[in-house]
Amino acid sequence: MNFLRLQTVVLLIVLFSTSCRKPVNHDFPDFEKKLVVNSILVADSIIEVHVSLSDKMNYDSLAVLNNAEVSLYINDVFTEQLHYVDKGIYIASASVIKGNKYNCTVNYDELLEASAHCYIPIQTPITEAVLYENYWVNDEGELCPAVQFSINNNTSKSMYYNARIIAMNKHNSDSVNDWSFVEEFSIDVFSNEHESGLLINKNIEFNGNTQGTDCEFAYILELRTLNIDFYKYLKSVELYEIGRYPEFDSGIAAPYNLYSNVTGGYGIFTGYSSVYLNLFSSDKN
Amino acid sequence: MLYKYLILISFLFFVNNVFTQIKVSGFVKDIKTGELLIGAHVVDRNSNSATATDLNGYFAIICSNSSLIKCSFIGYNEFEKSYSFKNDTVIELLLKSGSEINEITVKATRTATFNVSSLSIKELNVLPSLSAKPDVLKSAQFLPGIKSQSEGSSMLIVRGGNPGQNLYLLDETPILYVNHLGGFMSVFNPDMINNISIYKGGFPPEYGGKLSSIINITQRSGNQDFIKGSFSIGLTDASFSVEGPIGENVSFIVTGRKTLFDALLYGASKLSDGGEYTIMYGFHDINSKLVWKPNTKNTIQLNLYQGDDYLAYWSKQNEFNNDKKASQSNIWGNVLLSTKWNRIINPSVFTTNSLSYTRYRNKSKYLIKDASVPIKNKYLSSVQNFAFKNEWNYKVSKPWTLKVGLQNSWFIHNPQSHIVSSDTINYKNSTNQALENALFFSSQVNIFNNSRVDIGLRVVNYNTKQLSNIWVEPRINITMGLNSNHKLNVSFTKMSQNSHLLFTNGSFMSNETWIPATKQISSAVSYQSSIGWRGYFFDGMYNTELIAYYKNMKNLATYKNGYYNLKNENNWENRVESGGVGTAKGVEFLIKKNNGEWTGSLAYCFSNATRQFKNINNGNQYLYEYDRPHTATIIVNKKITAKLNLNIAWVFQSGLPYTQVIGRHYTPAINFHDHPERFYYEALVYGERNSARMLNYHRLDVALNYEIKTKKHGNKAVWTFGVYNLYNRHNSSYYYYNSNKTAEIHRPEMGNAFQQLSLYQISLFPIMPSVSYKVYFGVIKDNKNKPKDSVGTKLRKILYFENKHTP
Repeated sequence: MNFLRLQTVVLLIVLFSTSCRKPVNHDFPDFEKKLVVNSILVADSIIEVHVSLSDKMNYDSLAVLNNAEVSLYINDVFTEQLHYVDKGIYIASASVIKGNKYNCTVNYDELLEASAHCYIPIQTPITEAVLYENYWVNDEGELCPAVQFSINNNTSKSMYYNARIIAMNKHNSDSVNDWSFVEEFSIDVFSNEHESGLLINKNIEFNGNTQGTDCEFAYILELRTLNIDFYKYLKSVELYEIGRYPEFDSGIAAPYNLYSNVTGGYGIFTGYSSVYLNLFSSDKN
Repeated sequence: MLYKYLILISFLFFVNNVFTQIKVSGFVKDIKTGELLIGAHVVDRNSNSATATDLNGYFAIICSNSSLIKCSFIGYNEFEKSYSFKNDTVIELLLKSGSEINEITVKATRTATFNVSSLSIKELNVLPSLSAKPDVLKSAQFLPGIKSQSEGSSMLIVRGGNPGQNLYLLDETPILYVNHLGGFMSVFNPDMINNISIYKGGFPPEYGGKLSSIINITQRSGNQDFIKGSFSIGLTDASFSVEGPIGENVSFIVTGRKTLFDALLYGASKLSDGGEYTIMYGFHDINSKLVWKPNTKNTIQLNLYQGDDYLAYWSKQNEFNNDKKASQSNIWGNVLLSTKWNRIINPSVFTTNSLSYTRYRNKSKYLIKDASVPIKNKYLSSVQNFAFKNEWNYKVSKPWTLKVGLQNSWFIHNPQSHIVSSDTINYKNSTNQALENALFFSSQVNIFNNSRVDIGLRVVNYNTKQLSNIWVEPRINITMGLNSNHKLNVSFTKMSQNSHLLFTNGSFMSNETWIPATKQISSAVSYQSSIGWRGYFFDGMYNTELIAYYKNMKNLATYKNGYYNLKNENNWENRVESGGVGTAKGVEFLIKKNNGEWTGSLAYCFSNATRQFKNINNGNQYLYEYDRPHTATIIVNKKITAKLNLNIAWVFQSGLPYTQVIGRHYTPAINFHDHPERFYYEALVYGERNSARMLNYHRLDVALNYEIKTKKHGNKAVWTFGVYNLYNRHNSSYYYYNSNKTAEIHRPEMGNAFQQLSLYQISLFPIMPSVSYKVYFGVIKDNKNKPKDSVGTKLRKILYFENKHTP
């Protein structure tokens, strides 16, 4: 018994004293500063470009630029110089139009230059969508909804999509328009690369109604038609986040860099066009 | 070419027939326990022929009519006796154990093979270990060219290979999962071990299926004369062993281990946090071996191993729903069943046949009982292997030995099955069956001046539904004796591997997933060349070894960038990056002091290992995750008194490579609808994969073994006091970037404000004192109490061991 008591004490000491975290004395490597150009152009919205500088790892926040020269070309024709608004954001007077090609060139301090271009695809209509309120059971044993929808498949070219579910609730049942955003669910990023049929059918399961049952809920299906750069960026975000944070219980994934289509710098210059569809329940238990 | 072979064969037959030669074969055993002694040196001084016992304790030697047989084995008294042989003869040589803990280090018989390191249980017992209990794989990590995958891990990195490229054989039967306690201990119970041979290169053709090493662990046989055993208790586990005879010619041995802190962890978690969550972790393993020896020429053995780790938790409630009861259990481990028949057909021919079944599985179950819909979530990943092996050894003549055989293996891989009740998700169609047939042949010719040529071939046929491959693997191993003290060696081997281990660092539970080679994921192949020199000095007191190697590996597989398991993926092949190329090169140096006041060794290895995959690191070659350019170990064993033994081990390793952050830039948030406008957060820019290196790793371990006799019965007992990492160095296990040193993760992509980032390291093992106590029972206390042979034993000796020779 004495030995067991000793063993218990020693084991506890061992457990408490292990797994030490401490900062590493580390000289962050030199890193060439480059322009960072970010913009996600949304069809029918104002063109907005965020310009900043990349930097080495240090203890200051990154700098945004308020005096860069941001030029916009639409379908390879110079259109305008974007003007600075706030927090590194430059806007154009024009809105984003589907089917156009946009090119952005940024110059700063006569030394740094970066450029990027993208095409805004035309949205793909949703041919059919059905919401099932109680379709699947999540890890908590709760019945959760799913949406099944179909779109026409353009087999002649590669298409990229991002389907999202937006949950809205109604605070005031007397008011018809008092809907507000609650949550976005189950981002599904897919392409037609492995789809040979004329129709693409998707099934998205999501954890609905997590805010309780006091409010009235409505779901909206948003289908974004992406260009290939945005598709690659979304895929890279998923892998970046998996590799960013080590988890002791599940292993450490290798770090992964975010995708960039900016020449001479970092960032993502891309866009999409969307269609929205209100979802109505067709219960299937 | 054929003409040359015919001349060679004719010459060898001529050599065979010119002299009057007696073929003497048999086994070398411990006189007290009947344990087979592996690597014992047998010499006929008159004919000047010599050999060493193989993994079955078997030897075959050509003698003259009048022979002076000398047999030696470290830790045993030397045996020497004159014989007059008239015919070919089968004998047993019985050696008497010398001092128990004397002159112990990696043994130095001059017949030792290049590229092979060998450890006996006596050597194993005195090396310092994490839990003051001997551990096979931890001890192997002291050898040059063998590194641990990470601190505390049992997974071996041999000459720049992957952790899944090591063939672990338990009595010639493959075993797949080697970790207990997250790798802090290995599954091999030291009570069961007779000998460990580790091949790093120069692989003999009877072995194959893995690229980088063969770790051949021979288990002990039970004592043939009386019941004996031991009981041991340490910080991590308690273990026992019992062995003895059953009837006249059958012996058994059973050993087992079980963690002791299961109940402690359960109780502690029950008492903390209001008992909302209860956790339990433990492991056990059990080995047993039954040996039936109907006569001198036949031995039949049956082995059973079963071992599991288990982690379970129960929650009364969770943060989402206060009413729910949930439970999760994870179980992972091996089961092994094998039988083997060794037969001396005549003094020239020895054959072994074995039949085995091995299974590794990792399963988990998640239950919620009182949810609105009760849920049962099951996950399984497994590999099963049925194997048959037949091997023939033919001592053709004094210089020439032939070995031929075949091996058939049927693999059933199930990389993942995931079943969720009441759900549409069901990933259970991933079972893949494969048949692997191998034919092997080797010719060993001893030529003048202690030189030897081993030439062999292994032909492997791998079949699945989708593909059929044939691999032809030449094995060449040439040793040239410069004189009796110095030898040179060159070797070349080709190996193939028809399965891949997907593995990521940093998980406590098993995250090892075996996948088969398929049409998309090719079998891996390696080519290894080595050149070495070995020298003995001061009459064998010191020996040194210098080996340079180069290894090229093709068709390697790993997880695709960003993934660390196959869960929730319909087609698991989508997550596998294949077609990788690896290189490994290095120089290993070892100097050992084999006897004297103190014994010990110094090992150093310089190495470089790289990998290259099409879709990783932009297709550029990068440093292998476990590349350590410099590793060194110093081991010193000192017998202080007859009962007290001190062992010191110092380990140095270059830090592991990691992928460092070189910069930062803003990137747009994707989910921002709960913010008033789109926001931009700081993302990290990573440099070249594995282009930076963690701080160097080093530690000092000390162990004291103190032998006593118990007061009550006078049984032998050993206290082992150990200190791991004596100077408490905080060695890095891994690095990560975070805003503060707590485990709390700052996630700017969720819209959280900027926080400064720093580089942090996680260290797992500070100074760790440990103690274990082992008591033996049934041991012969002194010669006066030595049990006399029973009538049955005497009869058995008369009937079967008429040629038994003892010193």
